[in-house]
Amino acid sequence: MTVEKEEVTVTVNGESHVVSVEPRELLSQTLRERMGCTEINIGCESAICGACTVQSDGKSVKSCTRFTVQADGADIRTVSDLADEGTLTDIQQAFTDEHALQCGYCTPGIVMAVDEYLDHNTDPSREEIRNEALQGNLCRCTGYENIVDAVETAAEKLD
Amino acid sequence: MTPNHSDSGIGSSVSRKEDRKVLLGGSKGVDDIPLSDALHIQFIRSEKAHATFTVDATDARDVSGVVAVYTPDDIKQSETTTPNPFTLFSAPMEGVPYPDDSLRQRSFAEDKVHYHGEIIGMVVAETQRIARDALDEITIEYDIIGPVVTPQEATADDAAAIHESVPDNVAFEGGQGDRDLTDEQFENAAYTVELEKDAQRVSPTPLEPRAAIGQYDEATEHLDIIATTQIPHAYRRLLAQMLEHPENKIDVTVPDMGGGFGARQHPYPADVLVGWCAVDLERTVKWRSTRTENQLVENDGRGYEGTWEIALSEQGDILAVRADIRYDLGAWIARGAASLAEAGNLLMTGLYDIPAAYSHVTGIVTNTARIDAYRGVSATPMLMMLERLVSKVAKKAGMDPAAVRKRNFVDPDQFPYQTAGGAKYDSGDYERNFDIGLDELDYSSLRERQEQLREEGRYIGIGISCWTEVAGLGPCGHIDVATWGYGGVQVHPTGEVTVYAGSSNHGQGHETSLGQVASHELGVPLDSVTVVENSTKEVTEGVGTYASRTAALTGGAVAKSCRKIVQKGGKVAAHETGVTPDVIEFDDGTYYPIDSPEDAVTFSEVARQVHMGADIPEEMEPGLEEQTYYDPENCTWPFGTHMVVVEVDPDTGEYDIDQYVATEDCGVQINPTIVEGQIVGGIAQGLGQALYEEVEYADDGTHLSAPLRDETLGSNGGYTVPKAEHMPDITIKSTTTPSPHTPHGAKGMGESGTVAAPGAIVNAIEDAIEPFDIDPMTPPITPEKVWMAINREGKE
Repeated sequence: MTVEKEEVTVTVNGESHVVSVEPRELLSQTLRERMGCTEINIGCESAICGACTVQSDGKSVKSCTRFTVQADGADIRTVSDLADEGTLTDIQQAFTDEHALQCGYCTPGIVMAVDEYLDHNTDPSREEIRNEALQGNLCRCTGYENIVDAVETAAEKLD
Repeated sequence: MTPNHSDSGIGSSVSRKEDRKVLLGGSKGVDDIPLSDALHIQFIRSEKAHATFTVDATDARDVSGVVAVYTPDDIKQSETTTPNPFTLFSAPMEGVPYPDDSLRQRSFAEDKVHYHGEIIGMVVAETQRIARDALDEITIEYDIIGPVVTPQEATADDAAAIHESVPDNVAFEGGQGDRDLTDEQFENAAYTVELEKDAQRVSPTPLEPRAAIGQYDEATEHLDIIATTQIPHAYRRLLAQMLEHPENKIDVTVPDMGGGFGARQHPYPADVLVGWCAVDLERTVKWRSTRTENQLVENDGRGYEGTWEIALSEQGDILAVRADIRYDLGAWIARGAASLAEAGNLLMTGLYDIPAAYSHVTGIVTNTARIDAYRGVSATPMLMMLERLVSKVAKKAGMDPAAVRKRNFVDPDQFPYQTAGGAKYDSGDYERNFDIGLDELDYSSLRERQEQLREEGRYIGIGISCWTEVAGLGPCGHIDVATWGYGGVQVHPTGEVTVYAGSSNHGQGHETSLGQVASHELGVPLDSVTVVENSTKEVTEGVGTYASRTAALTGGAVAKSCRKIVQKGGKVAAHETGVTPDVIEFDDGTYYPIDSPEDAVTFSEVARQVHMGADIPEEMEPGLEEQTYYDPENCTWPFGTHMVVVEVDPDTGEYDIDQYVATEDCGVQINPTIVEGQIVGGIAQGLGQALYEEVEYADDGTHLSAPLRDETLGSNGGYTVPKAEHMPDITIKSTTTPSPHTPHGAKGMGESGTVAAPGAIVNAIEDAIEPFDIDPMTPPITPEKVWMAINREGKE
């Protein structure tokens, strides 16, 4: 089976990459398999769980829903790019302070989704955090309450 | 010498040590491990539930990049020994023999499939994509046999036998408790209630799909397995048995794992074949399941259906409980499945002093994937039904459900308390804990408010569910595998400490909590303690993490090893200061003679001295390292009550959870923040069972619940895991009744949420719509079911 490959240029965590991919290759696969971004987790492959959430040009997207060829020219950020020389961001710090993660499989995706959400809504209510900020992500361990607490705490710090 | 305290010791809510790595993106799961030369396995799985079959793999073998294709014949004809059948953890219950050997699961189907998803071969290729593509080139011809999908179908007169040697599809049956006394109590009861339950299979659904890597070194005959398991040492033992490969030539490591919840214990057929394939090809092979494959074959939980009954006296004393259970096992009896029958029966009387109880369980095979442990195991159906019955019988007798509970609790002076189901509860103070919950709700005012609101056409309901669980599973000899806790502790000459724990951390925070135990016992800062887990290479032994056992048993073993170390160090300090060991005190990391505290020696000085072996007592060996295999006297029995307030809109059937109060008592808490995290996480899964989750099969045995779904989209098929928007804020209140027999009084507590939440939520909804004279509800309770219950045909 020979499939024509396409050349795609993407910037990942500040570094530019040129890759040659089959049209069916997903962005999540490219990031994990070609660029070593194993912080992106693949929980469902069907855009439900959000464990593969990254930011593309500042917007959070589930990387399993994008073909790599659609990401040509995009600027992608993952959770690994948030901390500044090992200093956690307010959101990351709030997640550990509030015990907002257990197994941690969903965490990199949730942090990226929340990071973008708080750009738009700097003072969310708990209801907004549950219904909007965390709308696209599943967590099977925490029951979410501590994640809601962490987002609240982080939002307060951003004020 | 007494145990010591430090700021980061037992009882301290320190932040978790494991978080930073996750937040920086540094976690590494099985699928994240770089492998330069691995081959990729895709399993050929049955699309039918019950059929004989033939496989034609000719075209798949020709696909470029395919290295090997194994049909059942290829596996059997290989020089590598065909894997042996799985073994069972224990017999179903005391006095009931092991089920027929033919019901022990096989790693692959030879000529007949028994459930949708059963393995009938594998494709091995250079990349995962090639292997997946090659799967499309496999042709399977099926000759369908009438599938039996439910326990009723399986036990019908004309049902097809799933296994020829068990023509009635009944794997085992037996009862626990005193049947005659129970029947007698029912005859003398003033009020009785009977309640039916369907099997409601639920899926544990850890967020990381199952995966395994097998690496075989031909020269040393060493098999290295990297896998998603909660019990690495036991997993190794089973692989050794099944592959007939020496246990000391197998190692199992578990990297960062995305959840377990009971479903990730012993190897599954796929895991066994990954190991087998590595040996057969003498290569590194890797399998990573998709979400749908994971859901198709990973064990479901529960599967309990049948009739539960309760008997109450005129005065409100619970006289007896009785259950007749059909237990859906799936097509094969999974390793732990049979023993769950006994586990449920042990606590069938919950927190109440009930003189008689009898539970009869019939284990039935069906053409479905297997049932096995899922957080809460059989305690969830047993206590959900008990708590629903207590509320219903109280109402029937015109009594308040909270008052009937208080009247019937086991009293503090009755411990250790022998239950009618056969358990011995270690300690408890139920009413004190319960009253805290009632106060938090302002229960009596809330009942008045409920009455007032009903007059206004608003319907709130209060649901109560008390819980306990079989935690800290031991002691040894109770079942047919080892159940001790393992903890080794090494003190480095620098005074730093490494803990080698035989449990498995996959979200529970052991790196922190077990570190706290060592910090507490040795008086060293938590930062000086490293916890090693999840590896047969690094940790000598272990039984793994399940049955809420790590805090009590691994924690207990670590504490005991630390105490041996403190004692040995005390002898060195005595030698050093010229006194006898009995007058040496140890406090906050410092040894000193009682009468001359100024002659203090620090723990790290002692550590260096013992390591060097100079200036230590003559009979003493150098080195400061101890191991403990801790075999407890008993299990631990934590307890508490969940209380839920809901409001139901009778026009739409929709409901809101207004308040959720969880009281708990798990003895001494090592890290209260982690305890609360476990409680809320468990509640989310229990709420899922109450309101959203159910694994469904079509009439022909096709599994319908494999992909995750977003229930708000209303798609058909799939599985709904609760989201943030589905969860209420939860208030947790604790009391502390130490376990009398564990080294620091801790009990396990990981499963309380999944045990208590379903009953509390169902009771609350039924309480809310009681004025509509509803039939009992069947979880998962959707708004549609509520509306149907209110508006059912034949009602006004």
